[in-house]
Amino acid sequence: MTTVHAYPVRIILGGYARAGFGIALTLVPLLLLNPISVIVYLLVFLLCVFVGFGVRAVIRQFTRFEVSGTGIVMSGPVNRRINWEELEGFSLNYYSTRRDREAGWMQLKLKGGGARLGIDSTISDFEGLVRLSFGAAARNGLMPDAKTVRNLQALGISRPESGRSAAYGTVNR
Amino acid sequence: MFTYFVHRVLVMIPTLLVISILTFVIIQLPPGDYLSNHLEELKSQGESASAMAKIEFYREQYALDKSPLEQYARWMGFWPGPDGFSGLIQGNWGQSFAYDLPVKEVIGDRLGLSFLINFSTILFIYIVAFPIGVYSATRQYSIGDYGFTLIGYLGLATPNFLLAMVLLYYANVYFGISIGGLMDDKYINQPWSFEKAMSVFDHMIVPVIVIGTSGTASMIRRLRANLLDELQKQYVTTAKAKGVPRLKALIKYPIRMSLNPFIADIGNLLPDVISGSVIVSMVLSLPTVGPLLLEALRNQDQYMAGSLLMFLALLTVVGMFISDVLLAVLDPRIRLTGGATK
Repeated sequence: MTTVHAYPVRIILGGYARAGFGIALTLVPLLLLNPISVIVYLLVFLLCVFVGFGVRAVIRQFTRFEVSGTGIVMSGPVNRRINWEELEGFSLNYYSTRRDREAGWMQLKLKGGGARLGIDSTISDFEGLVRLSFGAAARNGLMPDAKTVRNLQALGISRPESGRSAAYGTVNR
Repeated sequence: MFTYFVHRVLVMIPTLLVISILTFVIIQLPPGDYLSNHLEELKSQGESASAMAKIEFYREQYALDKSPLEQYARWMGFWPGPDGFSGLIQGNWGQSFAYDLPVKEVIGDRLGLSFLINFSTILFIYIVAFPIGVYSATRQYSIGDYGFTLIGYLGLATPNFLLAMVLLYYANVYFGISIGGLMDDKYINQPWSFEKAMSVFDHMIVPVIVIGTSGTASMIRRLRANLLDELQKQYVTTAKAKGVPRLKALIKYPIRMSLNPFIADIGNLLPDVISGSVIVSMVLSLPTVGPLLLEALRNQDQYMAGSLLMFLALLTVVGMFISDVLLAVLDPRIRLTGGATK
């Protein structure tokens, strides 16, 4: 059984809007206001950042993550694959721009077989993806660090599930 | 992390714009302006027409007879004036009416010296607070802990300007450091040299201690409390029970975790340090932007006050940005009391 995860259109549009807003905020002063050199360097750097963010939004729009009992495959403009048995890095981070650290988002980072994947919590069925990855990490003997444990608890995950992986046909080691 | 960086920058840019609007509104709030007051003064003295013509020139140049919106737009450099776009963004800080000089010339080295003092103060706070905080937490309720706690409370309770006066006296009597200023008189208006830099370093000791005392005291309390919390957690007890050396069991995780408030506090420290340094600079006659800002606000020298306020606000916003990014790198954890994500 394979599940497919993708970023919802609403999130992709939000990414485009942010990239567009950022590009406008930096490009308009650059083109119209003739700023001093320090501000020019700063604006050009920020412009590159926002363009990069826009490119990433495009890549995300066409990216799909296929998760099966054998591993996770990222397909689209960029293709990567991590087999569960090769998984050697698993961390779950939380970011928020608010002072009270509310209303933020999580990012799952996976590493293995020479590939790295970063998946934001805005993707469809993020929790299921984290559960599967955590199960694979546990089977590979990976110990999550303190921040990952805390973030897993926030998702309601306190221990890796061995049952789900068996359903996908993997062998528990 | 990249998403976080982009989101944070997108918050920072409008924040700076809002701050610039607020700054402009605040310096416009008192009735009248410097030029009107000066004009009245000249009229009462029966002054020459050339001075009045100059005032009229400034009024036109800076759109002082136009709407506040246009004045703001020209000041920031969003709207062209008689010389095209020429505002803060283009590096034109405007004219100081009180000094009858461009703001840039009046400020001179003061911006750099202000930055140096504020940066050194934050460095001082961290260098002093860290070892004392760790000592107080690991030797809780010892004589040393009580001693540092007492000094900490004294630091919190003593007004900076009072401490400045006391330290000035003792620095002069016992160490021979000349009172006031940020360098020996012979180096004022001289080009930078090693001797001048050493003179600045010597003179910085008192102001840095004075401005940094309250910040150091509160940082020690914060670090002590955080480290005590960490040291009482189960993983530390387990590490000790398994025979992990005391120092390793302290450095490996508890100290790392208790460093978070250090990073997070850069953003909170900066406004405190900057506002604290204004008064201390007055008392110690430091050639920083503090005294200039106070004078500009009193005189309604709007471009001088506005430019200095914008610089201080920029310093604070950038400091908070750096602090937030560092904290996101070091501690990307959710608060369990908060809601879920997504």
